[in-house]
Amino acid sequence: MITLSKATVVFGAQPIPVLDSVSLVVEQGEFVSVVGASGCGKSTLLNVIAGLEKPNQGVVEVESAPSLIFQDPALFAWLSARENVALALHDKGMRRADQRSEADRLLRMVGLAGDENKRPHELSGGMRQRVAIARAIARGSRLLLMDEPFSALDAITRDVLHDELVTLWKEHGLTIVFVTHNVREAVTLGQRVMLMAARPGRVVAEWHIDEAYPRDPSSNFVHGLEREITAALKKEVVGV
Amino acid sequence: MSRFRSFVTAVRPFVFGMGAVVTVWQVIVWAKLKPTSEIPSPVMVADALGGLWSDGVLLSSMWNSLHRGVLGFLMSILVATPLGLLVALVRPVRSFVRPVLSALQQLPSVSWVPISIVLFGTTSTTVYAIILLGAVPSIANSLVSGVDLIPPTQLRAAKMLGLGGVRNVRRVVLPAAMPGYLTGLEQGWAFAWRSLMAAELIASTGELGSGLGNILTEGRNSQNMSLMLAGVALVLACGLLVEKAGFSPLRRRVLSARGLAVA
Repeated sequence: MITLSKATVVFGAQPIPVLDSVSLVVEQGEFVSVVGASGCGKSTLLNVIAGLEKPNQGVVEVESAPSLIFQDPALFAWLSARENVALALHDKGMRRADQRSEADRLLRMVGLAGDENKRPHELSGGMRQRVAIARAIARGSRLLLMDEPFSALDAITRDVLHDELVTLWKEHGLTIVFVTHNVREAVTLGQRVMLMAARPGRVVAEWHIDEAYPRDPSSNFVHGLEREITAALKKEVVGV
Repeated sequence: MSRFRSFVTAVRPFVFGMGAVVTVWQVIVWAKLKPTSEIPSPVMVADALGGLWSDGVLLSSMWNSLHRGVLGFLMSILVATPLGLLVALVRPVRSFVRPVLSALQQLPSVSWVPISIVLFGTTSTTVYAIILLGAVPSIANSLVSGVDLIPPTQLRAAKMLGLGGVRNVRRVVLPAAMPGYLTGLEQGWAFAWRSLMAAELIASTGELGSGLGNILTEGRNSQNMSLMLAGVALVLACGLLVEKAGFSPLRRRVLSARGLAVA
């Protein structure tokens, strides 16, 4: 569970806070999407939850240590997919052989069976991001903070990864905070979509989505809600 | 067969290049611009090499010099690697030591030869001191640059994986800095080898075994230009040997493992 109450972040001497008194509660096992235009403080919000950034005011409580996943999968280029995942197990007191088999199991789980020995440069962008997800799960964290993880991928790969992420989330009881500027992605994934506005960064609106998974990104439901949220987003950006 | 063929493909440019040099050289000799006592012909230099071989000096000199150079280089790596890591990762150490390293890197290590001889005499200590003073700053400095160039995302990822301290250095920092470090090693070897040749030329007596520098000195003392050119050829051959047998495969391994282009 994540609890933020009135978290405010100011960068240096800037007059307008990057996050202005943001309060939110994310329950255990929830999948929350955060949308907003560039520079609205989405990433800062994630960094605050991750503990990478301390708020100037307000309180942050996070129950379990989170794993962060960024647009850049940041894999280690000199290690194979298996070694990348196994490295996340370095402090679990496991033997090398156990680390390897656990890494293989996690790679199978993200659909990379047979690619264990490949190096990052031999994998596609989507596969690399899968390794990053397996690595994050290997840390034993049940809380994933994802910062536009799929925005560098092509649309079809992204759709596939959306389905897989939802499956992982359900099977492992993960809690996911998913930051994106893509409204359709936010609607396809989240049980809740939070809309952030910039200058100062704050949460301006929230939608609860009861639609069952997996959601078809081209369905009327997703389209309708996407239109609605995009209109609200536009209003925040342009001010009309 | 294909292995042989790829060997031929790899060696051909080198053979053509050397062939061109020797041809131009021979043409200059034929033009009789200078007497052969000043510009000897390729055949005369080959004869001098043959003489060194039959005297048993050729291999022993090469071995003595290479052995000293490689040993000094390995010592330099042992000193420079922890030093470079400390400078790169510990802020106070960086602010004090980095300027010293940069200054030393500018200084030709041959400048230390007279001082070394006074301190240690013409012993192998002098030779190794000169090699270290030449190679350590350049290896350490390149390692520092290599660490500085690691993308912040990689370091953040390491932090998220709970890696810290020695384990972080061993598993992430050093491998991530490897391409830059490798460049530093190659440069360090060049410095080590140059320093050694200078030291052998200046301090060619004493308890030091006979190296390639001694062939050059002997050539100078007897005004034997063929012998001196033979010595230069041997020094060149040693450099090529280390590059082709040592650095080239190492570089290929490091770069191809990372999906970087191999030149």
